[in-house]
Amino acid sequence: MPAPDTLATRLLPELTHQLAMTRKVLAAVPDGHNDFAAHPKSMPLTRLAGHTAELAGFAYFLLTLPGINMGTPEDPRKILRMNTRDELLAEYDPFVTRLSATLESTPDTAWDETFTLSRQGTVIREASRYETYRNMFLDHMIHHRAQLGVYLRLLDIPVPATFGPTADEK
Amino acid sequence: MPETTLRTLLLPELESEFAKTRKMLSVVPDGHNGFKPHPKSMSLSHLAGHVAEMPDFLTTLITSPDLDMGKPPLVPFRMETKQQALAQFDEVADKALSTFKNTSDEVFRQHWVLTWSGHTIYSGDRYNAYRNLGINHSSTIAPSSASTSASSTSPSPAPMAPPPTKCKRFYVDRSPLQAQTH
Repeated sequence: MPAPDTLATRLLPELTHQLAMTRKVLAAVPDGHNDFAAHPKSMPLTRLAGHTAELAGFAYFLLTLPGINMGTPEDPRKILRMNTRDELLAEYDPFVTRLSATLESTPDTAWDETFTLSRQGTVIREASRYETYRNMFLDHMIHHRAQLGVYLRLLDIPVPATFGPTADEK
Repeated sequence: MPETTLRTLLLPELESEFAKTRKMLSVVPDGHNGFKPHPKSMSLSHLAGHVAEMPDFLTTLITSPDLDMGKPPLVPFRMETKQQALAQFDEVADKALSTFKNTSDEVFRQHWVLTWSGHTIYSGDRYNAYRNLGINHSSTIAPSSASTSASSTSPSPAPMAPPPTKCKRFYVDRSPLQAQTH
């Protein structure tokens, strides 16, 4: 366990819980509907599920690097598309292990440091690592996980509970 | 730099999430209140109303030691028109922000309990309740309004309280939260 009264101590239970909720939703995604999209402008299921899963991989780099320059050869992120659910979970689970262990050993000083997100050299967001963790990782993952819930509903797949019972459990 | 408190760490996120939620509410069209993407989904009126009322939950979370969701009269807010929903959101968001700005770390460390007609749904420190039941819950709902979802359900009162066994099953995976007591 990290030392008491550190940010890591505060953030770890939430991270553990939210990563488990994301796994629960990913585990409910059916095989065989990869091209399904809720609307012509929406992401296909293969990309939405992949994106939801890959954010836990992105968060590791957020904690360990001063910045990421997206769309360049130096971009370390793994961009995922779901092929089968089992393959996607096999990508997701190591992200969870790596991220949880890294967060646990992240000192408070690291959270105040500036993290810079760029795309091909153009700065998109420059903020403290803490703010970026919240907005670009955790809130962002929950946003896409909820979209995934809509896709499951539209495909008539029971929607797992993430914030209390769903309509399937009432 | 101001002294680092939980409040100063959390405030930029709260302001940014409130702004995003307002942006989303302000594009909800009038005249589609009954729309739902699936028969099991919440209606648009219910979903937008739930999003608009969420900041008030934060005020309750910060100012009360507990909340019993099964206790009347907790009347869920429903959208009638966009303007009415925005007026509701602005009122409760302003109240939540001003309450939040006066919240000390000590208050976040205190114990907080959420019950539903006698069944304990959450029992742990207020910080974790703020995160997982407050902010993370709001983030779940707001993005779905683009296509309207019932995938997240409301903590507003259900017509009937769930039986104890079900209640336990729903929340059994909250153990990481419950373990976090100080």
